[in-house]
Amino acid sequence: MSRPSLAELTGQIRQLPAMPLIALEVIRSLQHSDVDVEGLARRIAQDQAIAARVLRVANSPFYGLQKRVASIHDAIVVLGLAAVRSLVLAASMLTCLPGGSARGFSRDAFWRHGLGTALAAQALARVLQRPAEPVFIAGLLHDIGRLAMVSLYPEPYAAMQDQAVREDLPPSLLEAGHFGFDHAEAGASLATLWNFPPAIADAIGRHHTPGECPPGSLAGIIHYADAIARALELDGEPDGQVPHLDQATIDGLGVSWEQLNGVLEDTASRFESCRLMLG
Amino acid sequence: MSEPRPLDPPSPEAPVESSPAAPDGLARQHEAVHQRVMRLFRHTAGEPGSDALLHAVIRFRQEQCR
Repeated sequence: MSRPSLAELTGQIRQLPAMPLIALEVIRSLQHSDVDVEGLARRIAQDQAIAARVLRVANSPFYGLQKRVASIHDAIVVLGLAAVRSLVLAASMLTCLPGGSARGFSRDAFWRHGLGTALAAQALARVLQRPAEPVFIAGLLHDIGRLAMVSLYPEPYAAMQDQAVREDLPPSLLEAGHFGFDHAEAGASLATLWNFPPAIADAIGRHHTPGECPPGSLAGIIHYADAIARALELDGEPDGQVPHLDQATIDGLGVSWEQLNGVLEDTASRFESCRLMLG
Repeated sequence: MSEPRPLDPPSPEAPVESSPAAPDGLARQHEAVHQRVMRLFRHTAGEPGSDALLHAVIRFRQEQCR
């Protein structure tokens, strides 16, 4: 095939199912502190598929609530606006990016890895005393460029995947050669197209090259969380591999040995409950 | 030799070894975990940035064998 450009990929995104309106509204609300919470709750409730997914997670054993959460309004009261916004975005992405059917690509493994990275990033954020919401969203969506590439170019993606298996190489190392851009660049373009906050778009774009960012950046947290999720095999892939970790980035985060052990425990223990989000 | 930094994991050998009192079955499980994690880190083991995570994951997954 002739190699698509990043601009062509971004243009072809319009062929995919549209992002639910409520997701676009939630993304917009990330950039504003004066959110109309009541209005947002009403609009989330109007999208039954997304509302049902949010309520299923809110009522999961993970949150351990004594009383059943029956409405989005209750979910915001009990879980907080940040948690509900993250759940809405997760549910929306599952709806609008089908993932195609490229050989060697598992949609289930893709989302399991996204969720694992999101939870590892949140565990790191707790240790580093950083806000939980942007790290969860950036972690969940850090590989979204790969999903777009699989959806739009399934055959070339499968050929690249075959080569990766044959030569035991990380697919991300081969992407630029096959496509002219990699999944991180594709993901950053998508995030910008969808008006995600710049910090999240930047983290998606640089999660394999965080050395270009200041110490302690969101990209650095996602870089570490990505490797943690792979090392815990949360994706369920039979022969995964842990990506390269940039030493200066890891040192810059300053996570101690004890804290790292806590992050692993926290990530693994929360994963099973949060998997409800995917099913 | 310099003092270990707070970020340093215990010595690289520590997580790999099983307690001498551990039953053979547990020792075998620990070895299987070690091999599995080394497989996951096959392209990155030995890189300084991966060192702490590699050892923490081996220890964490071995503890789950109990």
